[in-house]
Amino acid sequence: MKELFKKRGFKYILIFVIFTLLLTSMMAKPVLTLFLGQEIQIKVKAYDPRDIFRGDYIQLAFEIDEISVDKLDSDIRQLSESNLEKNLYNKELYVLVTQQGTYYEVDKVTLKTPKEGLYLKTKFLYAQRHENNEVTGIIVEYPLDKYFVPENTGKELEEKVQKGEAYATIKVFKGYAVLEEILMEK
Amino acid sequence: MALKNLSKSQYRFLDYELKEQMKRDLITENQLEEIMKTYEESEGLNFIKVILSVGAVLIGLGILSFIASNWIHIGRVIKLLVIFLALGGTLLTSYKTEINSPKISKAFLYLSTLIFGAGIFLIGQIFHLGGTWSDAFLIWTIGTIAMAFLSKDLLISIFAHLLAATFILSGFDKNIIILGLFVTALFYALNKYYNYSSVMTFFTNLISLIFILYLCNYFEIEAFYTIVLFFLIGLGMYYMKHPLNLHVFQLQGLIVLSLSGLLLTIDEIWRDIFHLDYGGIFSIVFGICFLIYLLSLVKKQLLTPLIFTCAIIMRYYFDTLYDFLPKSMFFIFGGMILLSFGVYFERVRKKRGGDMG
Repeated sequence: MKELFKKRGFKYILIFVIFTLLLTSMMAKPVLTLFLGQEIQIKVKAYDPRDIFRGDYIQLAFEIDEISVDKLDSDIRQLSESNLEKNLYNKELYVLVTQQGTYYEVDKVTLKTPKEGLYLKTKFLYAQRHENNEVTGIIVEYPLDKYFVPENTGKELEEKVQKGEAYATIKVFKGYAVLEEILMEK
Repeated sequence: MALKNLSKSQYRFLDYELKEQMKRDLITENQLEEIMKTYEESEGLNFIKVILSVGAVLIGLGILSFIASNWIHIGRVIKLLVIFLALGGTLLTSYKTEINSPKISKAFLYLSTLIFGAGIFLIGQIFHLGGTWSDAFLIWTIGTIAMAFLSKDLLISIFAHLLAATFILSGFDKNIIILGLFVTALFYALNKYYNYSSVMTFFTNLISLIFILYLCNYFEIEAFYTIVLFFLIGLGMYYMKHPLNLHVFQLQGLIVLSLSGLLLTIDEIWRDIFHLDYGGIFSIVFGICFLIYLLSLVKKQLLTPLIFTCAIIMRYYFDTLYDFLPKSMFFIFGGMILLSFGVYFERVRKKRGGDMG
């Protein structure tokens, strides 16, 4: 092995292989999801900021971000209400979705991986509370919150999104979701 | 044993002086060679190297910016292919020019590292990967560390440190404990590979400190305890004796303990722990003790504590006298304090020959 490392060209080939492996490993999950995942539509709600490395994008929120308390599974409801934020902080949640007309909506949220049904992995953001501090629901975050658009474009789409006249097509595979496109309602 | 790095002029001076001693028969030729073997001549700044490196960085930034513009006229697959071809092309050029034009070879290595980063962000864009995406910087860091291991280039290694710092700072709300530990350990391993260069140790220590700050934030440790922890770390870095670039540890230790000590002179920080009544007393008692400690270090002709002594005095001066003194008097006295420190600072610096320890 030491002999191999001493060869000048080997180092360059190795670094090319490492770079290629890292880049392709990043693509593995999204590509697998695009090929094998189930396509669903969800309603989106937005603004148009810029990421210095990835360019312009539309910041998205989804209707399935807001989950009312009755959709929470018993294992989540059992957690003390006063410490809900602490107990769920940075925890992975599983959002089961079912088709209601054209779009998919939240059916149930669990702490354990669901054995059946279509689900998305998500992270708890914060709890919504009534004036008397009673929890009325939770807000979650999917890694689908950015839709990248060509530079200085996307205004029309953004307006439609803000008016609630757009929906997202996503592919879901074993809880992992990839945002395919944002389309305007006809 | 680690080689001591000398600037070009220092190295030549030493070589000249030792040869003179050899001519006077004070040392033998063997002794001269043995002594010179313990030093290495720093590469220093080279005009051509600077031009080539800046050129490579500009092209790399151009490629990153091109990716960010998400140009509609080129398909995603073509963009990916361009990235892979550019990676292969730059690495091949670096390989081909390594023997005859090592500076050009290095410039192409820098370029390939930036193209690799552009590839990461292109993938993020293609698949609309959301979130804060600190993972992008983790992958860029790992790739760049691999490159630093293989190229043994200090600039690439420093760049890897900066990427790691961005990764940790952008992942403050995430659990990156194991990844952070892994990256920090890799950097310390890289130190050995770089013959324990002082610059490397400085940046690796910086990463460790940022990682400790991350841990304090992640485990929701109160600001007071975090600052006290950093104060203790600073003391440890300054006083603990070990063979790994002790002067770097001491300098960073002084900066860390002085900065955290300066923060501990603010009474609001103590009030979080000792409540309203005692916060002010504790901060003043600490401030006095800390000032005495800094002055004891200043007595040893150290410059870093002198800067922070000046900062503490100015901080108390602003806090207590700004509201009471007429503005003209306030600025005149403030200026006089700074001037006196400046004069003393210059004297100490001259005595020490510009050393900042």
